[in-house]
Amino acid sequence: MTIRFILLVNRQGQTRLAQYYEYLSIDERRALEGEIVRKCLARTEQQCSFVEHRNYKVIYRRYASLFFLVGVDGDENELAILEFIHCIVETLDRYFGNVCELDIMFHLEKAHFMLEEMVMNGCIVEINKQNILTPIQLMDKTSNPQFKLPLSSSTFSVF
Amino acid sequence: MAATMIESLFQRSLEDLTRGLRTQMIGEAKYLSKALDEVKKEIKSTDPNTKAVALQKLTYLNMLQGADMNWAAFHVVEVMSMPKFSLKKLGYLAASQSFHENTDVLLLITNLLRKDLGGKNEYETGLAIECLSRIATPDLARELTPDLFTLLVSSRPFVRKKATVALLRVFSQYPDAIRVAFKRLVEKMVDSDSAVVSAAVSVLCELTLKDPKPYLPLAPEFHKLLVDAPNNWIAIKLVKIFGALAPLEPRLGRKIAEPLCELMRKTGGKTGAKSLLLECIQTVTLGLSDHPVAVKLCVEKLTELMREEDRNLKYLGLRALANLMPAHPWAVAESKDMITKCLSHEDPSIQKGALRLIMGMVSDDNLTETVQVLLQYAHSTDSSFCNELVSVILSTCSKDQYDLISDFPWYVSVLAEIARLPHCEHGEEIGRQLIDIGFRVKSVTSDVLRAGRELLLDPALLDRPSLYGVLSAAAWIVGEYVASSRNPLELIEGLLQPRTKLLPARVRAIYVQAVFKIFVFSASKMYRHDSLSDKLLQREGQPGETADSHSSGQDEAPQRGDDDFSPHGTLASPEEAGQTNQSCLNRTQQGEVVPGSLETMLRLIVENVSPLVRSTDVEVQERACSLIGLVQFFRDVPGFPTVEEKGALQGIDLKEMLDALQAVFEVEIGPVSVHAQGRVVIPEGLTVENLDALGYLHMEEVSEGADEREGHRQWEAGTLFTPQRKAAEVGQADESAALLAQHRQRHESFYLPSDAKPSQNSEDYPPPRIANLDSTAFPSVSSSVSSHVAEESSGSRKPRRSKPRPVVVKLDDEQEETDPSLKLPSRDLKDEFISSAIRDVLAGESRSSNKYHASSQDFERKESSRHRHHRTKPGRSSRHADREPSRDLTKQEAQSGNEGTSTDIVTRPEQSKASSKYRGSNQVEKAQPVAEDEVDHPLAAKPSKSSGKQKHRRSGRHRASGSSLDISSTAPDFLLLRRYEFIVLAELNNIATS
Repeated sequence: MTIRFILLVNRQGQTRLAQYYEYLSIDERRALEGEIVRKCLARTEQQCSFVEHRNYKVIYRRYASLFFLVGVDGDENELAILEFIHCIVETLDRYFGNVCELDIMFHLEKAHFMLEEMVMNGCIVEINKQNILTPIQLMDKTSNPQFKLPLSSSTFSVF
Repeated sequence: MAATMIESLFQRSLEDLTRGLRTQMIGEAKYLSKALDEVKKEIKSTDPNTKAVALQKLTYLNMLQGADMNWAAFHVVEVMSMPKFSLKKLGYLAASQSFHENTDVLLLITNLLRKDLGGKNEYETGLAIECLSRIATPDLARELTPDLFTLLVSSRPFVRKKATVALLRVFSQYPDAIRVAFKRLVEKMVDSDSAVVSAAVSVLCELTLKDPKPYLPLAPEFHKLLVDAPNNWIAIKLVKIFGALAPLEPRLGRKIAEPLCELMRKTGGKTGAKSLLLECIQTVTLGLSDHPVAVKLCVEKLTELMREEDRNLKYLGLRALANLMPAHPWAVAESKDMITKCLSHEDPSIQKGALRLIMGMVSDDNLTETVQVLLQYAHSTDSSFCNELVSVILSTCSKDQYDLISDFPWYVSVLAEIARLPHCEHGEEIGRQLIDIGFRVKSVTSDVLRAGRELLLDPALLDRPSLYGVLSAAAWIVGEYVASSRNPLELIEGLLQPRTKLLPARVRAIYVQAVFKIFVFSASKMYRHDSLSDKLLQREGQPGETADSHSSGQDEAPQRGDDDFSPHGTLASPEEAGQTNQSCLNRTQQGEVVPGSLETMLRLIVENVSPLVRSTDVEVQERACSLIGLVQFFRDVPGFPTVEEKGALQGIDLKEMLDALQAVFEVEIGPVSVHAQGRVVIPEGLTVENLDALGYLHMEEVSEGADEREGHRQWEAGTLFTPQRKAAEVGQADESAALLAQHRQRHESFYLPSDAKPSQNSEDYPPPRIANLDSTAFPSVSSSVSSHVAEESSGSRKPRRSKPRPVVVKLDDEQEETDPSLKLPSRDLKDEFISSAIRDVLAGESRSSNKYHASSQDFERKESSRHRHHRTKPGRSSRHADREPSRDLTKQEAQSGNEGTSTDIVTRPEQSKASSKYRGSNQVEKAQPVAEDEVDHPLAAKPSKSSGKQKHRRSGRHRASGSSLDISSTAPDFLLLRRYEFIVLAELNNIATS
C-alpha cells in the first residue's frame, strides 16, 4: 500500500473530503487529521511540499483555497505524488469545469467516486482522465437524475 | 405505503445536509447531532431509496465529521444487496469505509460479494472487487480467490485492472493465494492494456519492496518492460523495483545501469519528467553506487536539479546526496557551497538536510572552519534550528572521545560560546563535555578553568534554567582546578554572588561544595606559605612535624604528573621552582593569596552561606553546615583574627586539618575503565591484613567506576592504604563492612564478578589497585598504555597537523560499551508467508512451466466442485466449511507438488535459453531458499503454514538471543561528591583520634 490517505482541506482547516486506505478508528483519524492539517497549513509558500509526520510522508499542494494532502509510505516518489495530485485536480476540473470548494462540497459523492476510480487500496490504478470519468458520466446518464438535480426535484425521482 | 412516500418526500438529501450545515444557526455540533438522529430514523425505512440516502448521509458524516457508523453495519449489508446499481454503490462505499476485520457482519457478505463479482455489469464487478480489496479478511480472501482468479483474465480491461490490484490485499491476507494467482499476476505485466500493466507493476513493486529476494527471478521481465515502458508511472515503479533488487545481485546492477542512464539522459532538462529522474537518481544512489558512469551522470543531474530554485527539488536533492554520502563523499563535497547556502533556507526540513550533509563532510581538517560557520548560523536563526545546530556540533565533536578535535583550547572556547547562545538548551551536555575534557585532556585544564570561571562570573546566565547543567559543571570545575586559578577570591565571589539565589537546590549544593574546596585550597596555601617562613617555624617550635608535612606534600607532587603549574610544588620549595621554570614562578606570584583576601573570603562565606544552614534542601544544608563548621575554626576568637594569630592559637590542629583536607582534594581525577580494577595485578609481597574492613571502600569505588567511568581519585592508594592509617580505620570500618556484606548479598548484580581473579584467594572482592601507586599519573596501567597508543596512531594518521594533538585519555573498552544494542529486524510473519510462497511459485515455474498450470486448473476444478458440494449441504456451520477446502487444497497440492518433483528431473535440462543469462546469476540466490524449503517440506507439497511455523520458531529464537544482548549492567548511581564527604569525615576522625 503506497497511499495511506487523501485529504482535501480548506484554508480554515475544515476537511472537505477524506479517504483512508487503512482502517483507523475515528479518534485516531481525528487526531491525525488535526496534527497534519495544522502542520501543513502553517507552512509558507517558500517551504517545500513535503512534511514528515509520524511514519507518514505527507505531500501537499495548494490550489486556491483548497489543500490536497496525500499521506504515503516512506519510500514513495514525492514528485510522482505531486503529479498525481495535479491529475486529481485536472480530472475534477474537467468534470466540474473550473472546480472550486463548493463544487466538491455539494457533489461530494462525485468527487469521491472519481477518487475511487483513480486509487484502489492505496495503489494508483488509473490516470487517464477519460477512463476515470467514463463510469461517472455513464451513471449520470443512465441512472436516475437524483445525483444531478438540486434539492427541490431530487426526491420525486424515486417514483 | 403512504408513510414511506411521505418519508422519502421529506427526506433531506446529502446536498441538503451540506447546505444546511452552511446555513445553520444552531451551532455545528447541534446541527450534526440532529442530522444524525434523522439518519437513524430514516435508515430503518423499508423504502430502498430512503434507506440508501440515509446511509449515504451517514457515510459522509463519518468521513467529514467523524460520526460513528459501526452501529449501521447491518444496514450497510442491506443496501449493498440492493439490485439498483446507484444504491448498491452507496452500500459498497459505506462498507469499504466502515468495515474492518472485527466487523461481525463480514461473515454475511461472502456470497453477496461472490454474486457481484460474477455479475454481468462490469461496474458492479468493479464495485465488488474494490470492496474486497479494502476489507478482505483471511476468510473472505480464501473464499473468493477462485472468483478473483477468473476475473484476472476477464475480457474487460476495467475488470482486469481492478482484479490485479485486489491481489495485493488478498495475498497479504491469504498467502496461499500466491500459489494460485501469482503466475497470472506476472502475465499481466504484458497485458495489452497499459492500465492493467500499471496495476500489475504496482502490485509487484509493493511486494518487492517488502522483501526483494524472492523476486530476483523476475528480473528479465522487469528489464524488458523497463526498456520500453508505456508510461512514466510504470517506469517509476520499475526503477523502484530495481532499486530494491540491485543491491542483492551485482550482475543485475551492470545490466540495468545502461537503461537507467538512458532514462536519466532522456528525462533531464526543463521538460523531462522530474519524478522519473528522481526515481532513477534514488535507485542509483541506493543500489548502483559502484557503477562509476551511472553515479557520475547521477551527480551531474543532481547538481542540475539543486541549482534550480525549486524548494522541492532542493529537499529531494539533499536527500539523494545524503544517500550518496557513504560511498561517494566527493559528490557531496563538490556541491558544498550550495549545501551551505541551504542552511539559511526558510524550510526547516531543508535546513536539517543540509546540516546533516555538512556534518557528514566534517573531517579533522575542516572541523574548525565548519563549526565556526555553523555557529554564525546559530546566532542568527530561530531557536529550534539553533538547538539543532548545537546538538549536532556537540555530538559530532565529542564522537569517539573527541577524535576529530586537535585544538582543545579552541573547542573549550566553543563550548563556552555555545552555552551563551540565547536559545541554547543543551546545558547538560555542554557541562558534561567540559568536565569530561577536564578529565581526559590534562594539558587544557587551565583553559577549562578559564571557561568555567567566565561562565560562573556572568550574572546574566543565572536565571536560565537550561544552563543549570553548565553552571553546575562550571562550579565543579573551578572547585576542582582551583590550583591553576589566578584569583581564588574572585571565584568565591562568583560562587556566592547574590543572584545565585535563583539557582535550584541541587546546583546550589554544588556551588557550596566548590566554595568549600576553594577555601580549603586558599587557606592551606596560605598556611604552607607561612609555615615556610622561618618566623613561623620558630614561633611554633615544632620544626620536625612541619617538615614532615612538607615532605608529605612533596611526595605527592610527582605523583600528579604534569603539575608544573601546581602551586604546592613551587610553594613548598620556591628555590627549586626558581631554578626549573620561570613561567611557573610567574604563575605562583599571580596566584598568590594576599593575606587580606582570606579574611574577605571568610566574611563572604559567613555572610552568604550562613542562611543556607537553614535551607530546606538536605544537600545544601549539609554542605553549608560543613563549610560553616570549617570556617568556625577561623573565627571563634573575637575581633576577626588574622591568619597568623589563628595559627598561633590553634597551632597544629588547624594546619594539619587543612593539609589533610587539601590532600584529599588535590589528588587528580582521571578517567577509569570499567574493567580497570580487574586488570591490576597485586604486587608480590604485599599483605593487606584487614581486607574485610576496607571492603566498603572498594565496593563503592568499583560500582562508581562501572557506572560513570568519569573520574577516580587515587586517594585510597595515597592516603588510606598506608599502614599507619589503616589501623585507625579498622574499628570504625568493621561495622560498615558487615553492613556491606549484607548489601552485597542483596544486590549481587551490581558488584563486579568475584571470580575475576580466581588465583588470588577465596575472598570475594577484587584486589586493591595498588600496583600503579607510584608508577603513573593514570589510574590504571592499561588505560595509560592505550592512551599512548591512541596518541601514536593519531600522529601517524594525521601527519599534516602543525602542532601535536594533546593526549586524550581513551580507555580501550569504551568502544564496546558504546556499541548500540543490536536490534534484529523484526519481520512480519505474514511477509514471511508471502515470501516463501513466492519462492515456491517462482522456483516451480523455473522447473516446469506446465506443472503450475496443472495445479491452478486443478484448483479451479476443485473449487467449482466444492461449490456444488457446498450448496447441497447447507446445514454445515460456515466455520467448518471454511476449513475444509484448505485441507482439500493441501492434498491436491501435495499431489501436484509430487508430480512436479518427478517431472522436475526430466525438464531441468530444457531450461529456456532466453533467460539463462540471468538465471545463471540468479541460481545462486535461488538455490538457497529452495534448499531451505526442501528441508522444511518437499517443494510446494505442504502448505506454507508449516514453513511459517518453522520461520516463526526461528524468529522466536532470534528474538530470544536479541533480548539477551539488551541486558545492560545497571550499577547504583553514586555522586562524585559523596566520596569527598566520606574522606573528609575519615580525615576529621583521624585528627580527632590523634
